Amino acid sequence: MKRWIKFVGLGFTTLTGLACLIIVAMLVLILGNVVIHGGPRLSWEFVSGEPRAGMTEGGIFPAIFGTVALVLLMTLAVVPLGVAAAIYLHEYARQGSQLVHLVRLALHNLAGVPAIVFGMFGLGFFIKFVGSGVDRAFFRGQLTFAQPCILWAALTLAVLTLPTVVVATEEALRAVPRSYREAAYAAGATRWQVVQHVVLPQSVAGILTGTILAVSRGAGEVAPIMFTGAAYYLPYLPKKLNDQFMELGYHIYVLTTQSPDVEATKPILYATVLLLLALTFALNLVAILVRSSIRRKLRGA
Amino acid sequence: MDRPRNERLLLKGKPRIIEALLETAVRSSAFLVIAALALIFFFVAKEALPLLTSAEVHEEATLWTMLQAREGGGFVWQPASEKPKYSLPPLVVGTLKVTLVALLMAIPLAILAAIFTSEFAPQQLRELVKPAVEMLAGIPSVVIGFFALIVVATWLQEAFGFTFRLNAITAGIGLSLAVIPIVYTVAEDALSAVPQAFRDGSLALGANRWQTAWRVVLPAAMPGVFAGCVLGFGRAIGETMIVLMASGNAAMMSWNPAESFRSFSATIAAELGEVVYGSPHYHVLFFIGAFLFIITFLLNLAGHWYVGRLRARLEGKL
Amino acid sequence: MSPILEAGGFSAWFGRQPALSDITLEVVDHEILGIIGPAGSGKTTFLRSVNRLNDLAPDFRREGTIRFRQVDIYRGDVDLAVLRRKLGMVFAVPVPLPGSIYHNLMLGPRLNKTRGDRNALVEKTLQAAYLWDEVKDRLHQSAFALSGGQQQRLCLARTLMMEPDVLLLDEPCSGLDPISTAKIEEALVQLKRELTVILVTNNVMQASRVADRTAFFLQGRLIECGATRQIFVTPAEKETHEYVSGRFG
Repeated sequence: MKRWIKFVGLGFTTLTGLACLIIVAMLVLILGNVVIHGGPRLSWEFVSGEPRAGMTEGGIFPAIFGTVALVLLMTLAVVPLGVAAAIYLHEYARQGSQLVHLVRLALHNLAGVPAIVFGMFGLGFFIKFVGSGVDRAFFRGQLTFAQPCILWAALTLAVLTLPTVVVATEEALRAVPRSYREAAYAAGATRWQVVQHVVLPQSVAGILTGTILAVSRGAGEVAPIMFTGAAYYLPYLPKKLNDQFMELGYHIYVLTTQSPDVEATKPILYATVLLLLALTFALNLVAILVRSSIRRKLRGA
Repeated sequence: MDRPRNERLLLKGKPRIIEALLETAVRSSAFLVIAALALIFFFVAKEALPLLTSAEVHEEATLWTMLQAREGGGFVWQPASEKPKYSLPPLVVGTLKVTLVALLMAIPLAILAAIFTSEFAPQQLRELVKPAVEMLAGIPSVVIGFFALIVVATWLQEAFGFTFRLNAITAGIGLSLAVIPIVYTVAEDALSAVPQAFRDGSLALGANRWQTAWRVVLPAAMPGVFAGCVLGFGRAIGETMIVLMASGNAAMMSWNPAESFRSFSATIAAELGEVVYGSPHYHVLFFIGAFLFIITFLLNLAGHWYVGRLRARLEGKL
Repeated sequence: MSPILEAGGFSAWFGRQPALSDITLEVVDHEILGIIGPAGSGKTTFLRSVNRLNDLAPDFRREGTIRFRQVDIYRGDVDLAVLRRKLGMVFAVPVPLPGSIYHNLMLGPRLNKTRGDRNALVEKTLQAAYLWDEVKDRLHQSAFALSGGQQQRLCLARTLMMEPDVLLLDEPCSGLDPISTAKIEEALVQLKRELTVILVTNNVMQASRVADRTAFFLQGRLIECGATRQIFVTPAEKETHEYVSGRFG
């Protein structure tokens, strides 16, 4: 009887270990496949050049530029709002109040909204509502902002990544010891001065982590930008806020599903995927490093 | 010392304007967060409402007709044909089909893996698996969709020779890659949170490690594990890119996982780009979007409430 | 001469929990008032009520008055920042803020945007805290590099940088070595010439060494207050006698 139990136990343990193995293998498979097929195509020309010959040759610099511009705009919008919301939740609000409950609930749900619904929101609210309002107010009704463009795409992504920034910032604020705040109050600081002179300087690294994570997420999401400004091929780079833009993730989507000659565009496609993956992972890695260096510093002090 | 002078020294002087402005900005940011969520629902619902109210839209489709079979039998989703046909059941079946396939793969894998890393694995292995899962979580869904379409579909085709190269199995495998990290992370947290005293007690009574894990730790962590499954379910239902790229996008009404299908989110993604603004098709798509929002909202609410109850119970308040 | 600080029937609660009952007490200008009593007697609560630091606790309630220079500090139009500058507090555990020694000392001037020769003030306060000789060559090193006793003296100097009228010290020497303790006590005796000191201490001997007058708190009530000599040698109340002679503690 005992041997049978031991046998089952071993089988069970092996099963769980196998599950881990399968998951890790899947990751290795994806990464390996992408690196093997995409690696050869990566070159300086690829990163800096324009697409040629129907996306079978050349580079994807416009998509890189578009992605960077998009994410930059998004950051400008989401970081101040997210940090402000976190400061409110942690420093100003009466803990346990209804408002705090509501804000946390809203954040939690915001994090669970499907990406495509964000895209619809971008279309229905930013483009159709705000955009036409702006056009009526500033451009005498001429179609300027009531159309897909990098501004609305960036703002849509900002709403999507808002929970990420708030959570990371709150974590950073929580890590500041209460005694620091008390010492500042006792020195005659107002509530805002405590935030400005003591809490925020200590939280910068955590806020940075949150920003990097948000950027990584924003660079990878395609559904929210499909109808709010991303384009497959543009002969120009986005220079104005109401320009459309090329973007790495969207480019991958179109190349994968709508390429007239899949085999010919495969090399470029793989290389683009590799680039996006490398970008995402590099950002996540930086965020993790910043976070663990914060943790080490906290433990040391 | 006379009182008026002391008062002047102590009482509030000129107001700090910049501070007041900054504080107002901080306080209003909280409202903006709530407003964002409310606005999303409001504006999606606003464009969806005509489906229920507008007579013009009703000429093409009403909620009732979308649920029924057309004359001649069968459910068809063909909004772009001469006489547009909107039928929801194929989309429902498609969504559920791929979600089921994905969860059937993802949940056992994720839970078993979580048990392994929290109960059996030595520290080194744990430090290999956890980052690996985090990396998996960091892969953009468009890349997973690409992988499913280009690589997985080809493999499966060579191995099984499906009629449809893109089907619920292909998409389901891709979808499970997105769901696994969610379920794993929450389940692993729940398992790790089980007090060491439980394990020690079980081992002291003569059970070995796997018996302890299976009969003591896992049941204790079950609420958290369940919450992770709920979150994974919510993610699977709402996921767009993977399904858009790997499902074949054919709105066929069939439970056969080896056949192409259409899901709610993929339908929106595929058609919203070409639809005419304000047309009945447009409103139907927004209706589907509102429906998706409500479902994931309710799932999230349930998960949130459940985790809150868990925490209260752990802290002894319940 | 009217007292610089006086409490009139002051009571305080945290939620339902009473912390202070009907405290009536006067603090004379340029004296060191020692507050003694066992743990939980309300000494710290009283001190933190004087600079309204208890306002930070969401469930704090109070009745009665505390007047600073005859002004009720709990009036709605009192500027808390100014109040806390004039009644500077040093905590039981040294709280150096991240940054250099100089940066720490500049906390007050930074917050209040005071003008004047800050560097002269830095030397003056460090001298008053008996810390100048030990740190004068390393003002820009991290405050965390100092020992516990040095950090506490730094906190004292930091508080002095705001040029307060009253110094509120909450068991400042708990956990410090005897030499640091002696230096801080000496500093207080010197500082009494320029300002008033309220010293909460659970070390009865410290009060007998340093305080001019002593108040004895027990379970939130003020049992007795008077000249230190009188409290220790001929206390009026039985509980006072039992506490100072170590019967309980």
